[in-house]
Amino acid sequence: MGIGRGNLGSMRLLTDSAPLQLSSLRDFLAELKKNHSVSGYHYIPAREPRLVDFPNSLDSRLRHALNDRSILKLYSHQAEAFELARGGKNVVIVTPTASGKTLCYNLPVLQRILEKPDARALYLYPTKALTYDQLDDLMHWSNALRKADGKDGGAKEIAVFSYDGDTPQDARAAVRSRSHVVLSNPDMLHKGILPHHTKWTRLFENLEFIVLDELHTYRGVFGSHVANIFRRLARICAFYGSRPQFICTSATIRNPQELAEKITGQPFEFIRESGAGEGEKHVFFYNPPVVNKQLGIRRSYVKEAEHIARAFLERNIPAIVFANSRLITEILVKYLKQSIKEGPLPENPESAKIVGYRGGYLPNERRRIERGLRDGHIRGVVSTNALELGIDIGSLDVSVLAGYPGTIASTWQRIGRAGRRSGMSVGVLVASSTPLDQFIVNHPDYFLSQPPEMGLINPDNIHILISHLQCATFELPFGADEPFGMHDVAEVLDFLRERGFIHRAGNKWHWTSDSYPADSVSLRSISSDNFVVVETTGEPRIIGEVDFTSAFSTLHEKAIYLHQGQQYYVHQLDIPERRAYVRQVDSDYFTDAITYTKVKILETMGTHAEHHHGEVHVAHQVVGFKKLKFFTMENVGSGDLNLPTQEMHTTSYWVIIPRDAFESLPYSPTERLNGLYGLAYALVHLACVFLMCDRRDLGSAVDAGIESATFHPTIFIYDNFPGGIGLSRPLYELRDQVLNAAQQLISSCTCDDGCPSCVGPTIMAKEVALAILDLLKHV
Amino acid sequence: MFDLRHQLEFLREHVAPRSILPEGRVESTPLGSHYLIRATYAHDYFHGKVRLNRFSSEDLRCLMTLMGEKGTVPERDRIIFLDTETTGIQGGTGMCPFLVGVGFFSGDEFQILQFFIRDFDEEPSMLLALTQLLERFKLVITYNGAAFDIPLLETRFTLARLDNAFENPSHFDLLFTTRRLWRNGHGSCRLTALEREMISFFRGPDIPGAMIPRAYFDYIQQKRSPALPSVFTHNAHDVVSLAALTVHACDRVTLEPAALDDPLDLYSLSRVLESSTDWRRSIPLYEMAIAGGLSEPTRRKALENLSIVCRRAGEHERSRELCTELMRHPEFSMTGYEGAAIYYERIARDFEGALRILEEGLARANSNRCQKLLKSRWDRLQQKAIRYE
Repeated sequence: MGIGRGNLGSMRLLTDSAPLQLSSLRDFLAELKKNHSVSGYHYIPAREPRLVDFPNSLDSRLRHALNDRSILKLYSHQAEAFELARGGKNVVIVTPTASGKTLCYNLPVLQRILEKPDARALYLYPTKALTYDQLDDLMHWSNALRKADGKDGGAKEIAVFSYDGDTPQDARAAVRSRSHVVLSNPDMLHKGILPHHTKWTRLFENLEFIVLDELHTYRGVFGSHVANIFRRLARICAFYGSRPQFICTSATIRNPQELAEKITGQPFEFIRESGAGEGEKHVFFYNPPVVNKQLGIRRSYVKEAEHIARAFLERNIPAIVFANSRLITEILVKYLKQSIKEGPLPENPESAKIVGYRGGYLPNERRRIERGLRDGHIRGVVSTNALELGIDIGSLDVSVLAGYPGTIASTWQRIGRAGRRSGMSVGVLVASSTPLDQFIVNHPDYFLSQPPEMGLINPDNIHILISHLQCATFELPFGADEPFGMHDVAEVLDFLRERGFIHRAGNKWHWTSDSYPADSVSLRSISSDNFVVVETTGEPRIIGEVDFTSAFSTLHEKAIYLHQGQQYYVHQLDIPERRAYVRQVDSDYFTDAITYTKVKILETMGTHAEHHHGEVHVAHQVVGFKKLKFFTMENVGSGDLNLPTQEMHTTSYWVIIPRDAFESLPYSPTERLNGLYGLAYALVHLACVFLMCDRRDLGSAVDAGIESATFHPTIFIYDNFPGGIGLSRPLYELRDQVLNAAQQLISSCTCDDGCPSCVGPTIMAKEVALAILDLLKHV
Repeated sequence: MFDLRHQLEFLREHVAPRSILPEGRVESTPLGSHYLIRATYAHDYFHGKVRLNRFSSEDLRCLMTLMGEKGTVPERDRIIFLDTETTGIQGGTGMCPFLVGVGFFSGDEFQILQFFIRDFDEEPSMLLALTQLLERFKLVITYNGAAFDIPLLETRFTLARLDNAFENPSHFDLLFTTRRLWRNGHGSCRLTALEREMISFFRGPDIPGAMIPRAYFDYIQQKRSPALPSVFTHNAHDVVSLAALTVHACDRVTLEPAALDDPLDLYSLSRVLESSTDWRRSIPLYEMAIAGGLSEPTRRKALENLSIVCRRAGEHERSRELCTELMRHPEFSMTGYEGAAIYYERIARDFEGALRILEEGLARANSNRCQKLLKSRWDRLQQKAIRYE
């Protein structure tokens, strides 16, 4: 059998528990199936593992070490990866959680180092937590191989080190020269390793393997940056005369091979069949009941997720709960701790130990929690996506998702954290009231039939490319004819020369600035620039975070900010400090920002009927707000705001509604406008489902065509990043699916007029939006 | 026959840049060419108050031994002083040394060579010439070179695919020495601050370090840079001051200190001597520093150190006196109480006295660690006292 992420034989499965529990779980599931709020149920039968003998060429020392881990055979995909990698191919492996992915790269890499002790490998992980998890595992390998050496004689110790911001200064020189396998992350490669490559000559001269784990996380802006980092890495390897091979692993996405090829610029072999077995799985879709039909308000999904998790924990069934933000994580921990203490206690109170796990916890605490989960000492954990990636936490039986994670791939990853290779496991998706969640929970068949999302990147985004071209020139003088991505580099270089960054001497471009270009490029820039919400009613405390793009519309001065059902009045927005100060209030109204987004079409790149995609200029400004009374939605006042305009040049998909047809719809002009805005609201949310992107990666705007008599009403859905990150064109291609989904979402929503789950809370919007969709079908 | 256009082209290419650069010549190597400037300082040249020609290998050997520096000191004409001017101080491979200044003794004269690149493509040639020059030398002296100049040049050798010219010669970074000798008295150990304060050299208008990269970029991009000439002067001053400060540091440890020296400098020197094989020499220096007048808390530190060195040298009575003074000090002194207790236990063999001192110390001790140490000493002594009774 194979192994998971260093998880040796700790298959603490449901079947290991007392039989009473298993039957009680089955009873409970039967009960759950009958619950009115369960909108879907899906059963995945168990699958037998496909095991094969060790490849003939596998080194005897590795065989011994595998045997010591009670591994006598490999899963088919592990053997396949070994053979392909040995044959010099770049390999991308897509298999589910806990299918022994790490062996796919560790075996070929370790064997190569055993054969050739000078050989070096670089492992890259998207997070530090994963790095440390893998470091532990590799250290075990290194020790095991040293012992195995005793019998067979031969190679020396295999040195394995991590290299990141936490590596002590005095240890760095040793890591650089001695480490056979260096474990790091793209950010460190970008800022710490590539710009100092002369200190890493041993690594770069002998680099044979680059392992890129969790490939699917490198998408969007982050992935576009990483692809450019690999362009830089390739130049440096060429300088030192090495040609490393790549091994990538990924969660299930639609285009792993394409993504791997785009990120690394190399051709790949693709292993898609997992040979690992899987236990039976029960997946539930749960939609909290409606408590206010008029406004479409549902019971809090957080509370509902807590109820469901508690039901399992009280039956002494270990569970993991995923929340979509740090704050919700903390709230869920608090609720669960409280309710478990108050509720009927299991025999051993310790067994109901609940913890939280998220970024921001100290590394030691995280290690302690991971251990506690593995040895079963901790029974319940509430986590952000921090545990979604492959950190070894042993086997839990139940995974409860508080809110749709935003992508199909991510949903499967999270559900996969429960139940390892056999036995039975349960996944419950609890929907929040956003259109995205509502669409998924009301269309479980869509969710289940849909291939997971695309990992999209655009390494040739000019903003991203220019940043990395500067870094590249800093690292090694740039040849006049050297390629870098798809653009005409000569022109880009000339642009940089005009600005004095580079200077040509002979046939090479040199860096001419006393700055360190990598410092001004943040790989994860979009989400890092958040506003924090500080409550000043009593002692100041931070109650939440709002991303930069939506801060102006939800946290402007005099806004009513809703948080966990409580109303807060914003009395100050400090833009330079990225803080909003709020006070608790009890008002009978809420505020709705009036934003003014002007999209100007610069160039149309593709057209089909009324659908288009191309380049646009976006100017976005929050200009005022309305006060709306709860329940009646009566307008009880308004205010003007003077906030900075955000401008960018990006790419967009847009759909035009012919003016005549639009105006002939049997509604008042206001109602028609509401419908148009409502449709845009639904479309942008659904577009995220289809594009596997974060909601913040997309922006939307409506041009009602009021300003000019010849202009037709238009809905724009654009890449919310200067230059675009490649979402608009696929959206243009997927438009029919998105429009169909919008129609289904809106028509199946149980609210009267429109609610946050479909077209937003606006009068008549629902009916008009459907009419517009209908109209679009017939043009 | 030259037409006007050709003549102007010639002027543009040759005359204009040359007028910016100090007088020098274009040197050719197998890797291309670069620009070299030479200057000579006569045998009687004084840099501030230091006569450069006094520099001697023997004195440097004393200094380096005292500082615990490894590396053998060769004869004087095998020692080279080095300082670079670069396109930044940000670190990383994108930082280029465009001017490398070196200085060395040739007979009684001090020679300076400045290797300059008129554009980036001259760097390989410059590095090769530097490598060839360095082959003649066995010791390189720099100021902060361990952290800056040497790793920078090593990176450049790698990028130019040349062998590392610093593999063979030893390296002595004077910064660590000046910090130990003078930091107590002079907050800043920057070369320009020390040359002014220690050897009274006033260099006059100088280009601020932060402007140096810009001066060079202007030169290569626009072929005019009013600030560039001052970079050459700056670099030459740095190299000569480095040599002169080395002489001065040697003086500090080889010449007999005088009572009129700055007490803080005497104290610093005592501290250096204390941890060398020549540690006995620190006693009179500490005495001199204390007599000269030190301010707190340095004075207390000096008393404490002196009490320990005296005990080590067998001057027990002097050590006891110092400990008594320390015990009377308004700030609690662990060294004072421990020293006094040791004296009464081992020299005076007065266990009662020693116990009393420890008890007083326990009452005043201001940290858990001190409490613990004094208590365990007290416990041990108590047992010993009982055994002896």
